[in-house]
Amino acid sequence: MKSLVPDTLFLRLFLLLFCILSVSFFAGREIFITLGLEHTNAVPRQFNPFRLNIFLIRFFAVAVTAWIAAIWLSKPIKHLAQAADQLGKNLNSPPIDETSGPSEVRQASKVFNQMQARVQQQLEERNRFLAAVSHDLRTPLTRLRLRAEKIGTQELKSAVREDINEMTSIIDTTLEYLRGDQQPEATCLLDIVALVDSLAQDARENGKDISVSGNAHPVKLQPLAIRRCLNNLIENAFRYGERATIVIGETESEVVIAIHDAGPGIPEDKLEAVFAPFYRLEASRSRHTGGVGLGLAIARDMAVKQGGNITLKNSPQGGLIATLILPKRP
Amino acid sequence: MGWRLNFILRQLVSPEELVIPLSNAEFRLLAVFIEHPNRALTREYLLDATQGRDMDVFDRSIDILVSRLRQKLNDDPRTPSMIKTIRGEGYLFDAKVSR
Ligand SMILES: Nc1ncnc2c1ncn2[C@@H]1O[C@H](COP(=O)(O)OP(=O)(O)O)[C@@H](O)[C@H]1O
Ligand SMILES: [Mg+2]
Repeated sequence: MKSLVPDTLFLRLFLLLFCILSVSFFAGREIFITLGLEHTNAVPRQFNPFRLNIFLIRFFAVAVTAWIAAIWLSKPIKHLAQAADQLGKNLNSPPIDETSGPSEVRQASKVFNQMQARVQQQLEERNRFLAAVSHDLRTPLTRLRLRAEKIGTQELKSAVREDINEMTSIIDTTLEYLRGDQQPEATCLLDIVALVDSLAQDARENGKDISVSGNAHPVKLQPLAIRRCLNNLIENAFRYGERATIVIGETESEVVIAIHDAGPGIPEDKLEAVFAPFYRLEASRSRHTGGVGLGLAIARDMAVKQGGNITLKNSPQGGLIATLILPKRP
Repeated sequence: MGWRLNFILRQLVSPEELVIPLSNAEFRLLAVFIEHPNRALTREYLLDATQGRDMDVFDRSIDILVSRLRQKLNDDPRTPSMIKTIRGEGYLFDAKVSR
């Protein structure tokens, strides 16, 4: 039964209107007569093949009328659905128009907007809280670092120092992630190849295994944001995949930077989940590699703000391929 | 306006307003050149002044670094106009530096 009912509101309205219009248009007179509302002495109509094309024209007219009316009726709901969908994808999208459409739709828009404001407010509150805690932890941590210097045994001292460093870096990345929301860095024409090359040179100076190939034209970007983005991806390649092989390329409309590594990759069903803030794979958590699970969240945030994106996929030859896509803007 | 170097972000800005990031080693080398413009600087001196941690210490590494920096400054290595080779001695940064 369910399959007989059309899925969209538009089709339902169309069907309904079409039935009503057809009945009243073709059989209206007969109904009136049957109900005794109209008296007639005329002989009942008989089927006449010469009237067939008139019938078809009427049929067509009814269909078109029902079609237009169904569009008109279902449009506000369709708009509302699209706006709600947009809101679900991006919480910071502009509020839905509360002034157009029938009153039911206006009311629903209003509820959606209130909901959006409330969720935004809660997120802001959470961020403020996290920022405050992270910030406050710094002071005792600095004290602890000074006190640790007084520890007698060298072994214990360096172990404590390491722990403090790890805590500091957790706090730093958390604060950096929270700051990500508010940074109006100026865009400028950036030599992206020079940027990747510089990052690679610096990594090599620190004894890392990294290679860069390919070429691309300069792009309009926020240099710091892109540097941070690439840094996080390269850092992951070293941490989980031992080395980074970077290939730069471009199409008509995009610059594409692919970072291959030689690690185990990520299970197919987790390729999207690892972008969530504070999410880490089981293996990384137990291996104690020192991250907090913010690297990819920050990187994607930055890429999206430049109008680009980051995608992950497992290479058929093994290892993960993280791809940063950046649009070429005039 | 000519070339500009942003000391904080460690990036060059070309006369055409193209932003060109430098590696740490390239930045250190350029900073030394900027400190001593129009003076022949020996390889040893440059090596000393630019050594980062864990960097391989041998003469050629300065040549490689110079060629990288030339590339970023768009300075033709055969007829360089900014970082000139002084045969048997080292390099000379031929530029007017202003702050
Ligand atoms: N190149 C990679 N190879 C394998 N796993 C990866 C790779 N990059 C990221 N991951 C997984 O995704 C998780 C989230 O990464 P990220 O957001 O950078 O946080 P972090 O590195 O701090 O753990 C990591 O904990 C790791 O499990
Ligand atoms: Mg990471």
